[in-house]
Amino acid sequence: MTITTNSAVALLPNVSRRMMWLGASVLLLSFAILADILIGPAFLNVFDVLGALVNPSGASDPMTVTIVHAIRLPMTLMALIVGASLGIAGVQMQTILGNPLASPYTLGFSAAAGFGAAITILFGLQLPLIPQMTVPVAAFAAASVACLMVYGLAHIRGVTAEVMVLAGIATLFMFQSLQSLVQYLAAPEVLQEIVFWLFGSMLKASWFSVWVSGSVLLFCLALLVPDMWKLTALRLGDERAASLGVHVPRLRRRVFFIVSLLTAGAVAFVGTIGFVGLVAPHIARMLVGEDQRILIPASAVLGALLMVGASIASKLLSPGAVVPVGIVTALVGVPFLFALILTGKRRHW
Amino acid sequence: MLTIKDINVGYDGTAVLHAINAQFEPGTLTALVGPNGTGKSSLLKAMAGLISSKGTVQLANTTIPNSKRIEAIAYMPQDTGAQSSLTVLEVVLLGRLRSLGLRIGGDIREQALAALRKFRLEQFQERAIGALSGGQRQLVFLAQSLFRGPEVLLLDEPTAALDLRHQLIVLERIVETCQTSGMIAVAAMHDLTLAARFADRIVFLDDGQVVADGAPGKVLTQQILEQVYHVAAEVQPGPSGALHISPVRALDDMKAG
Repeated sequence: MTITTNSAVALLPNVSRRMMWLGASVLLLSFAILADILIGPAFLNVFDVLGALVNPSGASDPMTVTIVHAIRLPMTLMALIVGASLGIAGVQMQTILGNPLASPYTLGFSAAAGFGAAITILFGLQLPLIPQMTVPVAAFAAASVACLMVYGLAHIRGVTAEVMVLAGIATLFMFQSLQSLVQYLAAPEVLQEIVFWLFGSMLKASWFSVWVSGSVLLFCLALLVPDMWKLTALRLGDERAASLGVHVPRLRRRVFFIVSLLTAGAVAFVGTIGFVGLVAPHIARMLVGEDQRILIPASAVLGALLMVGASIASKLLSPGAVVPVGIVTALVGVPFLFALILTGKRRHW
Repeated sequence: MLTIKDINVGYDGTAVLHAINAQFEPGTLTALVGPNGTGKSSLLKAMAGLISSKGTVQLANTTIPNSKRIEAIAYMPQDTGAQSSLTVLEVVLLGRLRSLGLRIGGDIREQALAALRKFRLEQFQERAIGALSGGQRQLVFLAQSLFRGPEVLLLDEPTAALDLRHQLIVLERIVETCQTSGMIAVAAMHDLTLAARFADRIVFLDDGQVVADGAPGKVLTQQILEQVYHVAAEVQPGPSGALHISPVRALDDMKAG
């Protein structure tokens, strides 16, 4: 037997190709981030923006520094974090449910978050010391309730993909109905506020939301890293994964809670944003395959790219105003997906 | 030596296996045979700790608790297809899932490739597992199991739905590995002629109980086949010297169900 020892990294032959795709996506994301910061109602010079980002105290134009740091950077970072969170949540939901149509919204977390926000807006509720946090806290709490409902049912009937999908769909419809009821009962001006929240918009972003959602994302990533090979094995089916030593129900339960946390952390501040969590994992899978060591970062980067791209498109669509980003995510993502479906050779599901 | 004592398995209050006892010698292949639904798969899964069971499993006189069995005993499930686009090499690497880190060492990769080479599959290393034929896929999963370097390998119908060539390759590699590494292999099988040719020993299961256990020449008799399968069959030495089983007809007294 020949033992190859000359490479410390010893990447698999196709890993370098996959890393190339990942690198290209990161590069594209970097340009998209810069473009998102540049684009807005106030015209900003690219060099002033770069100066404001790299060396705010030495920047020539204080107005640019203020616009970049107080308004645009939190919005862009929030788009990046939300996109990355939904990308990772989506890929894990598809993995643990063994279903290509699964997304962070399949199990009703997002609908529940929407209901939590809607009911708070309807009744004008406010938390005592942090009134500005009322809607995010209510959205997060409602998403957690949905998570516990699905888990409770799965715990009783067995933590299988089928039970979780059925329990999730029931939860989804329940919270969608409750959401509709709240909208039906709301006065026109309140209804407008609710609908705006449900559309999903980066205008709600702040440095506080960036820190909270960013911390949730990093925390969840750290929890996923030790299970990457187990999650890869799960793509061979429950029985094969079990035969490789994976405790499938335990893994499914653990990842389910991580996905719940990621989704709740992403939507609580900016509202419901569809499509990214469904499509980013598919694009990532087509580009880098199913090895979760690369698939997780690729889904995060592509989710972020879709969100930041949607944020740019939302500003360009209506000059002087910003169309809620949740409306344009599909418009940005669909061409990507179509191109890959038409040119892709591999079967993925 | 692998020893199983008083293995009992039940589903929803119905007993499927009743106090199964057996010993398996290193370097041997044992065929587990019997009619459909008689508990072959359940016994293998119980031995691998994949379903709850009563009784003990000992490896080299050490009792392995149910939750630890899958770490000590390799189990290859029946092939039910694969929709995944994981590459063949990635699938083989998963055989050592517990020891894989973020980076794959060059030696591990070379060993995985060597496992594929044994089955002449190295040219498929970059191909998606879901794109392979049933026979090729089964060889990849066998390569995965052997890549693990197991002391004990349990196989659930490893030759089911395979063409003649792939049936022979699968069983030849298993026997070869048993002989070279001392691996204990136990395979649930339906093809009695293949079992007679490749297995050192045959265990007949019927209604969740062992009804015959011994060398193929000793237990493959018309009487046992009639008793277990309720068929009339001819048992004769084939051209290779191994016994050849030709079922003649199903007997009328076949049990209901």
